Amino acid sequence: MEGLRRLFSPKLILKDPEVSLSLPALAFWALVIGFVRNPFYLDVLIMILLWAMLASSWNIAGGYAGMFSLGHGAFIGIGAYMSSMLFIHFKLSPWLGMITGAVVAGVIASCLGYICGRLKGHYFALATIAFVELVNITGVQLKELTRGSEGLSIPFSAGWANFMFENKVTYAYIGLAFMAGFYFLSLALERSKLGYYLVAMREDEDAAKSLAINTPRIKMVSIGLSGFLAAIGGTFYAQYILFIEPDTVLSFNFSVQVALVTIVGGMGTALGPLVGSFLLTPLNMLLRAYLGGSLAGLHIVIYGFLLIIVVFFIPDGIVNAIRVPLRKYLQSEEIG
Amino acid sequence: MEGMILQLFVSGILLGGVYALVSIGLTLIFGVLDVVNFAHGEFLMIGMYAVFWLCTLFHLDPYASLLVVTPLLFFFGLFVGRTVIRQTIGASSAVQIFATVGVSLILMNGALVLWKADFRSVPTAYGSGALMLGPVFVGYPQLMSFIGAIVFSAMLFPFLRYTYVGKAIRATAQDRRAATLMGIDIQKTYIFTFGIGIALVGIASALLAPIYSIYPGVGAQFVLVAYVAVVLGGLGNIPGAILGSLLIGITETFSGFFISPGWRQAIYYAVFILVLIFRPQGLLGQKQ
Amino acid sequence: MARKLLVCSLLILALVSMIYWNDAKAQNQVKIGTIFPLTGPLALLGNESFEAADLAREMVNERFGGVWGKKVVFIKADAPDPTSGANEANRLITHEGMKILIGTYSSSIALAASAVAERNKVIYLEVIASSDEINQRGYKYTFRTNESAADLGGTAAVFASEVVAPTLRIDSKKLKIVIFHEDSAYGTSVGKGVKATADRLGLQVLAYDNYKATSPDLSSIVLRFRALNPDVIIATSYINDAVLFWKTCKQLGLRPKALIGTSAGYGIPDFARLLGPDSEGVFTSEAPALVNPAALTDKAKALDKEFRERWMAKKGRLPAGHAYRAFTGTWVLLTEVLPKAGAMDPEKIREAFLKVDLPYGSLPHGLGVKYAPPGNPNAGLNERRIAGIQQWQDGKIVQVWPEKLAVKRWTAIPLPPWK
Repeated sequence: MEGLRRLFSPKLILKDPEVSLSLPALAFWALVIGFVRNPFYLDVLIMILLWAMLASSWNIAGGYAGMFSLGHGAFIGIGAYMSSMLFIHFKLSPWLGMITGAVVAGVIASCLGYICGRLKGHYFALATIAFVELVNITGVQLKELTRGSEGLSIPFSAGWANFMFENKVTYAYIGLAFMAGFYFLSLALERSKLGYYLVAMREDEDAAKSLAINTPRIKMVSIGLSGFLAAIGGTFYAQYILFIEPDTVLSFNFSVQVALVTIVGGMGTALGPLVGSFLLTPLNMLLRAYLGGSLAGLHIVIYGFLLIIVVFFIPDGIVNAIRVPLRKYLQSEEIG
Repeated sequence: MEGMILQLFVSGILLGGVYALVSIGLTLIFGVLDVVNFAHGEFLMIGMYAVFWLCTLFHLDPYASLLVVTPLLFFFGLFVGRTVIRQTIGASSAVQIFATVGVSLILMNGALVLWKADFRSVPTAYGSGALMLGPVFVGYPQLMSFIGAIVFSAMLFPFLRYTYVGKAIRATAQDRRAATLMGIDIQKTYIFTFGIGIALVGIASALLAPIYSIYPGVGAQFVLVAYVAVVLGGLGNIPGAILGSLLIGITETFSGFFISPGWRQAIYYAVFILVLIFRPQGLLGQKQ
Repeated sequence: MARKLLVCSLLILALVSMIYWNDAKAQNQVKIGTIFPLTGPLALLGNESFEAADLAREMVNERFGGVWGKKVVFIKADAPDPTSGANEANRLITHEGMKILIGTYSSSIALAASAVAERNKVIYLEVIASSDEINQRGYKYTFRTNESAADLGGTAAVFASEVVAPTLRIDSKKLKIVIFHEDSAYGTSVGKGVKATADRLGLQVLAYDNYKATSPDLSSIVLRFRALNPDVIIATSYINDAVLFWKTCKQLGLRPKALIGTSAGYGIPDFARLLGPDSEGVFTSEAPALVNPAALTDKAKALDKEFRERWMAKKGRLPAGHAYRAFTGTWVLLTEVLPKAGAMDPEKIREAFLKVDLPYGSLPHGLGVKYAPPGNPNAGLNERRIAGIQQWQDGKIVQVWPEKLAVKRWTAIPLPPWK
């Protein structure tokens, strides 16, 4: 992939802040994880990394390709269930199960992209909602396979092959590695030919088509990739929480959350999902922790207000809101 | 067996009537404003609570409370339209969807904070009563909902056809720019339409209160079905929404009987995706 | 643009300050964490369950001055779903330092939260949820005092076979039943219990269906059953769907000879309140409630009396099965287990759990207490648990079976025609 080559060429690493700053940032967080002793803070951090992963995967379809999906829970769930079922029934290592689940999810996502590719904007969103509901009902009814709504408990048995660990720190490092991987993948995508085609398609699909860009095909590829990555996130989720049920992951609500993180952070930017997760995940957990006990429901009312405020004042997300003025500022520095 | 088929058909139509009540307002909003209103079910819930409080505090019959709840929800719709919805018109999908999701969360959990999670109900003498038309049972409140759906959408027609406001709404739905050029205040039209859409939800809530328990999450079960009905029938098309609702009601009832109650909803989600792909303008809509 | 930056920084500031905001912690208290769904779809019974547990705590503080001479305080957490259940369990354990968690009413939340507790070697006491799996994972720190899904489901089938069939003068192997349940974890696990016992007893199961509890309409199910013409319907539903189902049966002319619900919707006061006289005669398999005092020890009788009075004062109605479950589970923890343990040490508390030995009739609703030891397939589950049958008579729930707990005899087998 030329994107990767371009990404790691020495000139770019020095000039492009998104790449050059990310490496020390990564090192910083790796150190932080190493030093955090409090399991609660580790838990929050792992959840942040998990949501960053899930949001990044959504971003490929929703942000870069403009395919606004509200059904990503389906792909996340497929990943979670596939790796878990393969582990429980066939003792297959969840790492391999993860790849299997990701491939399955990727293929299904591509099909969805092919079938619904023509749909615009909120029609596509509605189709994805129907899709995740369908997958939910299937998950509930196919009881022999998935244990239906009683949910799958993954028996705890620590070990690298089993992708389960006593020590939360290991989960955090793996999460960090995945998140970094998704981040660099997004950056590479941005700088690749596919990335440029996607921008063209997003800005004006008809104009893009007239330039002989095969829009149906790039839509399929993007959402396929998105589903693939989402399923990986799903396996990580399953291996950490050790319990999955249809109503949590295979749901419209969960899918909305995934999309939301990216929207707040900044759609169509590699950093957006990470920023969104770093802000929203602890906010959510803290709101529930400190207000959830008192007046039931109050913390969600506050969350709803915050949502509306963010969506109105920063509709492109935080990263986009900062990026343009920041770049202008940096450029003006250069000139001056 | 024919008796059973007939009963299934009638029950399906009555269920369709229930869905239609919710869908009519939605098709108007979606058709004119092109906004996906995820809070639609929550407005229904608010309306049902309003009916409940009117019945409990003032001993109004739920059907009588319709006269109070409808204008109440109209103004509430205007309020939300002005504050939130107006900013979402023409905005990206993300903004629209998340603004209305935010409204939905606020309404649902606001109700939870104010009125707790208890199930309220509006007991009526005819709540579980039924008529017998030949071999077929027809539940009273369901029959009232069905009649209400037909009557109130029929009332919409002269309104949309002959009044200035109605024409403005139709014009805006057809072509925004042309409507603006014609001197129609688009913003006001949008807000007004939203208000009417929510007022229709108010009617629905009065008619549905005798059937369902009232609790903060009661609206959520209707939203997705309403969207399916609306798309099936054609956006902005009121007879379409009714037709779509009836079809869904019938399909759901028949598949619940013959196939399995567990897979019932799967049928209409599958139909939904198929309609979106093969006939996105819906059964009665115009091809764009 | 400046406005946008301002909003961003305000958000970040708010967030950072919340992370560091810490309320003063009081010493000299016994703190126990609780996890219940206080928001979300299960909020109604989640809140009530918490209240019942909290009442036990209040009464223990009043009567005994708490535990080990210190007042008991609950650190309350809200978990509307399993993920938040796991997160909150983790927070209570690692951030708040809890060594005991009480929860959760919902089977799936219980499974997630107890998994976290077990890995942290912290006690998890389930007081209401019924899924059998909770105690079938070989966990050492998970205990449960109340009856399980298999008990609830099985008892309904046993009642159909041993009481309904003979009363109808039908051979139990010729009794036609249909089983249906809502499709969440709760309904599915209880439904399985019904089916397993029904098959074992040789009842004729004509249908075994499930449905979504939030369905706006159950006509197709009612008509399906009407075509099958069963003698008995055994149903597992939440309150909304239970009411909708029975109302629809009336509208569409389905009247089985008996309807046996299984806890949840069929056992709470809202059932009679929402259905009025139509609730008459419906049975429910449930944790016993308001039982015959003759079945109780004197201590239990007095405790029951006080529990009923205080619940009535608080809620304006008498306690139902789920309230009894949460109350008694917490009561046993605070008055039997913790005193024996002597300190807030999970290992000592574990051993104390296994030492509790109370005969049947020791709890206000007739149960005894003896937790199954490790090695038992249901390790940690109370072996002296009972699910009984109650019946709606005159708008009130009445314990009618088993005989020793019964307050009155059952009526309405077969159910008279709809009025």
